[in-house]
Amino acid sequence: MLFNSVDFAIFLPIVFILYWYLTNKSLKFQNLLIVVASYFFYGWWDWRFLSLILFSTLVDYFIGRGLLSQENQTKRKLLLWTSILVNLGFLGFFKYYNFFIDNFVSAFSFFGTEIRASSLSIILPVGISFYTFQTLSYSIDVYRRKLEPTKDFIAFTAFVCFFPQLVAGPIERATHLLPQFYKKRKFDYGMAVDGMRQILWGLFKKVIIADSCAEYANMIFNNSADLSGSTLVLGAVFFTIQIYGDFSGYSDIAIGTSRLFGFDLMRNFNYPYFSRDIAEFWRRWHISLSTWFRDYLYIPLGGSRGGTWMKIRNTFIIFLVSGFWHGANWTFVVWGALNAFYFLPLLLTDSNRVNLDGIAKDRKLPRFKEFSKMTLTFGLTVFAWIFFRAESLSHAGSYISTIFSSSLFSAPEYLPIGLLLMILIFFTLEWISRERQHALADVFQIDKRIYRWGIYVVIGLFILFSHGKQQEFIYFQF
Amino acid sequence: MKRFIKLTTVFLVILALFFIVPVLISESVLRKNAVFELKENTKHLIVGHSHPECAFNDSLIEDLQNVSNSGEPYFYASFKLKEILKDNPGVETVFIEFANNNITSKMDDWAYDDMFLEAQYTIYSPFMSQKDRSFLASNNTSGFINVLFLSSSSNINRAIKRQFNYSLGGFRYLDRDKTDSLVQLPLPTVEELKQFRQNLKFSTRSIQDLKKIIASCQQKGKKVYLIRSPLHDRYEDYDFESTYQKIRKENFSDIEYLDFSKFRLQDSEFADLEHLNYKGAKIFSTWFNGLLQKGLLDKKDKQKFIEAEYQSRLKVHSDTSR
Repeated sequence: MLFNSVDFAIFLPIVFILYWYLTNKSLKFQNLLIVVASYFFYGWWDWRFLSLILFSTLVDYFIGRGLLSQENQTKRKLLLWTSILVNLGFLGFFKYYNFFIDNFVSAFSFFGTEIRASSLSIILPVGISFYTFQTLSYSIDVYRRKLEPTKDFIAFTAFVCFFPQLVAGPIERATHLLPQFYKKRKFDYGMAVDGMRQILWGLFKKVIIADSCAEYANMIFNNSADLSGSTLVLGAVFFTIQIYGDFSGYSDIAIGTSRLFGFDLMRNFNYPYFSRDIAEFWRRWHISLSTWFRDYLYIPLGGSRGGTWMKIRNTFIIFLVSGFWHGANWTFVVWGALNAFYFLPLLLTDSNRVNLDGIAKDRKLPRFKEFSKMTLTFGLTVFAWIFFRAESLSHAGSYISTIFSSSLFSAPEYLPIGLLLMILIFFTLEWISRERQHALADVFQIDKRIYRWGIYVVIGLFILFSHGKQQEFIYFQF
Repeated sequence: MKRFIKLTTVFLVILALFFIVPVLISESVLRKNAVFELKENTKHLIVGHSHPECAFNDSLIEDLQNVSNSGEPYFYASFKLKEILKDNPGVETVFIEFANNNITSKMDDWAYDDMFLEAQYTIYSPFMSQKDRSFLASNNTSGFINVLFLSSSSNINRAIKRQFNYSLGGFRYLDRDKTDSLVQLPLPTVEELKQFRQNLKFSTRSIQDLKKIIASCQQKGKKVYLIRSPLHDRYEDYDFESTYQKIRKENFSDIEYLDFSKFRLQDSEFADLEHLNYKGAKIFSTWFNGLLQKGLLDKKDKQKFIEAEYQSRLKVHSDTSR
């Protein structure tokens, strides 16, 4: 079920009413309803893969229980590795099996040895990369004794399959989300209203910004061989905005929906395109994944402690793994590597934690130096996204070589003025709201309800009139 | 909680009002100003789906316009035809394609499957009644709601830009020839045929829609003929020919039926087993024009006349090839 579908528009109010009117008396019932609704939500796409979520839930629940009663360190390690192997095993099989087989065959044939191995026709279960990481965080935190394993199976199941964030995150930590399932939720008017605003803003980002940019980005990337360098630059910029609108829009809807049910999910985006360097960009982009890798991979590897080579190695590992997490294609690996290269100079000069404060704090506009840094960071990001969007490395290569040709200075074949204007308005609104969680929080501090509602109605009408062709969220494929 | 639900409901009602009012205004503007204009002096119309669309090259047939459209079931054709007849009182004759697949449940899919809804509803929504809309909504609720949004913005756009000229369809020039490979395919086995017939479902809706079209044409004093465009001998839906004929006789015995399905053509003149390519269309359309000039519509037994013309054509053909 897509968040921007009619199905979800019917599903959400029904679950909301049942949740607050029928099950609000008991915590157990509240959690049970979340489990049933979440399984229904996921099964709407493909009910067969519910068994996978259930199996993953059972494995991690019992491993958690096992870790509680086990004091022997070797046995505890064994339990943890069972969880890691089961979860990553599923992920590896469904997401990477064909990639590895194809690459093995290519590698052997390169050295003159023909081997026969057939790829399988495997459907990638939606959200597997997200809920796998979420359940892993539980086992690891229990192993590290950072979290008391739960006895409440229903609460744990609800934590794993919580429908707002099941298929595309934010990837929640057990330490943050699971305890919220232990307390009966009480309806909070302010929270629910803000949730609605965040949903509205998320839909605006997705339906108006991302889907409109997608039209041009797809057209340009799919016909890149026949277009000028200037058009390809525009295509890369459109994709850059599309992926942000799409994914942060999804996160906004997920967080907003959770708030309607009394849950607080972690923030996933913090205006990343206003970043002044790449390190800041990665602190603001897909925060739940970046911090997951930081806590469960980078730090255990030694983090930024140790010598220079160790720092470089760890940086590359984390970016390459992050790239590979996005998909079984070398384009994602190169995208990750490129980001590691961007990051490296900051790390080696110890300036990766320079821009920790808010951008242009207490000022309306950034200083020229800040603006230049923001533009440079944005440019580097746009360049890296080319690899992310391209079908293959050769496609990315030819795309980039066309950009750096004389046609870069010709007029672009497509120049959708209306869309560019809309993007400008969008970023202006985001800039104004950069201190808040989303652009509609506080609605620019307008007191009169009629004006606030006027803004909501205009946004709502934009969404309704642009609705029709549902575009899937990009991050569903990961 | 109550306050939240109350305010959310009020907001949604306001939003719905702001959405619905411009939609209704634009639909009414389009209804009033829509132009479905035919070529000058058009007396005959061809209506139907892709079969007649590819068969009747109207540039070769005097006083005739082909307004067929691929994937257009009677449900949508009825709106178009109604508007065409309103704007073009000079039309005397309406030829409506009635092929074997016109009575199958495939026509229902063509009415309300997502892809067809998107293509057709956005065009014809201003001309639909509430009953027509509820037919679509009851068969594909989520698809219908989606297309409501899509058609709303398209209608508003159209009304603002004053684009009142509607596309009518027309002859489709097909430059392909897949028949050689299609005829190589093995014939269905007895078991497969049995299975095919068992699974076959017919569309009562399609038959009702055709009846409505005929009644509306007759009300306006137009002469209606059901026709069947040329088909290849291996056309798949011949497999239920007897049922097709039975349904036709039961429902449309009072409407003259002109069957061109046995019009002889080479494999290379078919695009596939049910569509003519441009070569076949040229031969058939020239012949059909001759038929009209010879007074086909004044003949008492038109099908007999058509078959006699088949024979004389074949005779001429074999004489010249000798």
